[in-house]
Amino acid sequence: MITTRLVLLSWTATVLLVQSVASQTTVGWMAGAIAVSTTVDPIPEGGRLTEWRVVQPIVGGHGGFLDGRIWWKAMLNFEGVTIPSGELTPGGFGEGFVDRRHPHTYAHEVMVGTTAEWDGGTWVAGLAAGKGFPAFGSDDPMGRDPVRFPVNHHWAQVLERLVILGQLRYRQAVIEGSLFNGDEPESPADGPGLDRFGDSWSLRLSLFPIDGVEFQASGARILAPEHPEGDGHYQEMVSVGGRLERLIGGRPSYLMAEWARTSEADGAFTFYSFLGESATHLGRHRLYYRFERTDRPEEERLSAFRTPRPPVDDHLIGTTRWTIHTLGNRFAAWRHQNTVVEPFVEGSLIHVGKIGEGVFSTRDYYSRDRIWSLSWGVRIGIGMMGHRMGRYGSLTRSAGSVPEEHIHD
Amino acid sequence: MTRWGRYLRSATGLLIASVGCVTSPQGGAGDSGFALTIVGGDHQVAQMGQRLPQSYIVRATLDGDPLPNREITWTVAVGSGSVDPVTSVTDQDGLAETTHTLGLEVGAQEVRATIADLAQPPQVTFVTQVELLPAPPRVVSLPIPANYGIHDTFVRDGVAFVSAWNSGIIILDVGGGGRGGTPEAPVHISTIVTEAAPLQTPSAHNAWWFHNPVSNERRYLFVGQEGPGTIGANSSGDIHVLDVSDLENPVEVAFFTVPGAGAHNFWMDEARQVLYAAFYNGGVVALDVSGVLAGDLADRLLAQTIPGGQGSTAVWGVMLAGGSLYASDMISGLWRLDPVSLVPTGGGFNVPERFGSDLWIAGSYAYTGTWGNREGTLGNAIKIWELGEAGPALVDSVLIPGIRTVSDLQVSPDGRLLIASAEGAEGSGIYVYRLSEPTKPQLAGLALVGTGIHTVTLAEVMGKLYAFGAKNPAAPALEIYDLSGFVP
Repeated sequence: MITTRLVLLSWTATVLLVQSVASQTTVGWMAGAIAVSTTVDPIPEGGRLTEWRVVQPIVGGHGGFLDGRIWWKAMLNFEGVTIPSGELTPGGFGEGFVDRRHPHTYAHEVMVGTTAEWDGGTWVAGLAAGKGFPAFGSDDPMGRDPVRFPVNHHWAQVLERLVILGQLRYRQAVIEGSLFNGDEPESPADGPGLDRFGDSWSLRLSLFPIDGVEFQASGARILAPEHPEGDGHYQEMVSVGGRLERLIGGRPSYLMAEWARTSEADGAFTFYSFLGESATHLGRHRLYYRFERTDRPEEERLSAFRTPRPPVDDHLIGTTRWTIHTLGNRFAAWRHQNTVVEPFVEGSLIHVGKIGEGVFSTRDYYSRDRIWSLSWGVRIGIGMMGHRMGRYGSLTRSAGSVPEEHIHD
Repeated sequence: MTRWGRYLRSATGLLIASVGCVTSPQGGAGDSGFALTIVGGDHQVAQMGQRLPQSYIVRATLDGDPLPNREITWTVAVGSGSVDPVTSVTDQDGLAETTHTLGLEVGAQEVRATIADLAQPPQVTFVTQVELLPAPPRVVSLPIPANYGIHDTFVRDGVAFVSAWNSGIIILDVGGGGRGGTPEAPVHISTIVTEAAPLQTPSAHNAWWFHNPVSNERRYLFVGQEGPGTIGANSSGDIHVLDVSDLENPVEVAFFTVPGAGAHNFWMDEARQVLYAAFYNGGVVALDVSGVLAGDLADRLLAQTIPGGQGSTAVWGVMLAGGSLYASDMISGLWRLDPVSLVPTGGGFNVPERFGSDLWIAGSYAYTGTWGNREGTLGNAIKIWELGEAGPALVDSVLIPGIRTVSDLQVSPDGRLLIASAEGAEGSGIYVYRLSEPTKPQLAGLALVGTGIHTVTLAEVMGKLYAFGAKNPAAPALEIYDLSGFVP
């Protein structure tokens, strides 16, 4: 069943690409990967660990046909091959992984859509469908500066779902609604639960007051994301945030801040997150910084890095609050046309605090409440500039990416 | 000894090591003059998972003389087993020892002993040949809907009540329900989805079929609802009461709530018509369940206790034995309570290094499971208690390698077998121990189950002893094992 879904999605992506090429409409493509060494001290159950991995290996594209009336967007992700056991990420959680970031599915995004304009473009309506991102929250961390995924990945984004998304744009405001399946993937080869389609929904309002500046507020109601059969509790999620990406003082600059809240089981559990990040260019260097404070549910573990999926009950053993400062720099060592090779180094200082009661003890798992991580390696990207996953139809007009010619001195 | 003298000794040790003479099955020499020899325990033959009957014993010497008061480090070199203790100190004769609980690998398993704090420590290696344990035959694996799966099974008179979370209570004829069912081929009688209120989901976790000796009725089934919560802080879920006079048409008739707490395991004093229920942070409650039960049973509350105090109580289970009620608290250990007032009369705060789980009392001994990770120590132990005048006294522990939780345990009606379910890692499954010596359970059988067994229930059906295991998702099932091969 899983293989069938995967073949269907891959086939769809291939057909879209061929259609676009045959109809001689615009086709763009991209590829990338990051070779990274990460050291974390301490890891769960104590000690220091260093791992070399290739993360975020992707191939994607976008295009259109029927004179541009139909667009498509696709991205394949091969982390199921390169990091089947996840990537060392203290604080990370989700899909049965803990303190490791889970691999994404092979068909990360395969969306098809259409848009129509009225009144000289004052009004734009759009419809999109496929496997991708429901209208909720902020950008996929894969498209952001830090290699390290934030702890709030599962509070601030909803991804890899079978989704139908409708849009209506009026001048600088876009409202979106989406229907999708609530269950999250069980493995990299897992397709979205067709039988669960429509059991979850989301709404997002986006505002673009000036070029390069945007705000969003969104909400989602997701049924039992951790239970493939759909039996479980709703997650009720809220996200608000702002994003700036434009020239400041002649330098391409980026700022983002978001706040998210997830409530589960009729309010039995509530988790908050605040995240802010920024980046700017200094010559061929891109410096970036992220601050994050996110609550994480603590579950009983199967091993240092795994929790049971699906869970057997609705118990937590506590809640932790992760406060993380991440500072990094990447250096455009080599650039040719649309290809860039960037060595990078990135470090995080982390404090793990316990909030509320419960038997979870930070020292039981980590031996202390302060953790550090250091990552270094090289990013390779082809045609990646300005790509933002999960933004469809008229939202791509407001991507706010800084023109490529401004990126390097 | 001068600095140069120490260098000379170290250099000598390196030279010895370089020619491959450091380690041998019989003895080893390291820093010049220090030596370690095996005195006893080497070359045993045992079955996997067993604690070896003979300790490993070494003698440490310096220039041929016994070396007292030196720390010996014991390390499992091959296999997933464990040693206890991991360090020991030599006595006046230079002797030190440890015990080895074998891992689950067949073939050679090895433990290495070294003298601590030496640059080139001498070491010796103990080798034990490990044989396969017999697995109890599984007679059936009955799939349960994947709505959190199956949590517990109550078996009485050949009728099994499967607590299947949001699928409710599944009633099966396994040999006494009059539908032709057997443990090998259970026959479905009925299913009732218990009320979700006051929560979002039914979350049926456990049950007890009340055989009332006063009224001679077999009318009520008590069901524990295990709702969302944070262990050690809060919990939720009611006791739901079903009228199962007609097993084919059960009806929910009553409920009982402890505000801010949720139900877990039950026990009954059926003669007194009292239901005891563990309520996690709500402690233990005693309910009068005599007569007709209907609606809210709030006025049936006889007593409640929070034995470890607020913030230090999460009671997993209760059991009545020998005129006392025993409660296993995840945080504060094993308690003895007065069965009427529920006032603690002994025990408590007696398992500081691990979280507790289930309990079982057999004669003057108690067995408790352990759970999760506490201060870095996994719940891989069965605690063995002697029940005296002063309350439960810990006498020994059995370690199970390759697991993180002993989720349930029970002693057979004849007192000869102890059975435990285990979760959390590669050793998950059902463990069968012989209780020839009640304080020294000997592992006799093991059925490994990859996703773990959440609970196990023993029941005699049609003259044979069976274990009813609740296999965890993703493919939950009621797994029934024939234990008659383990009964002498």
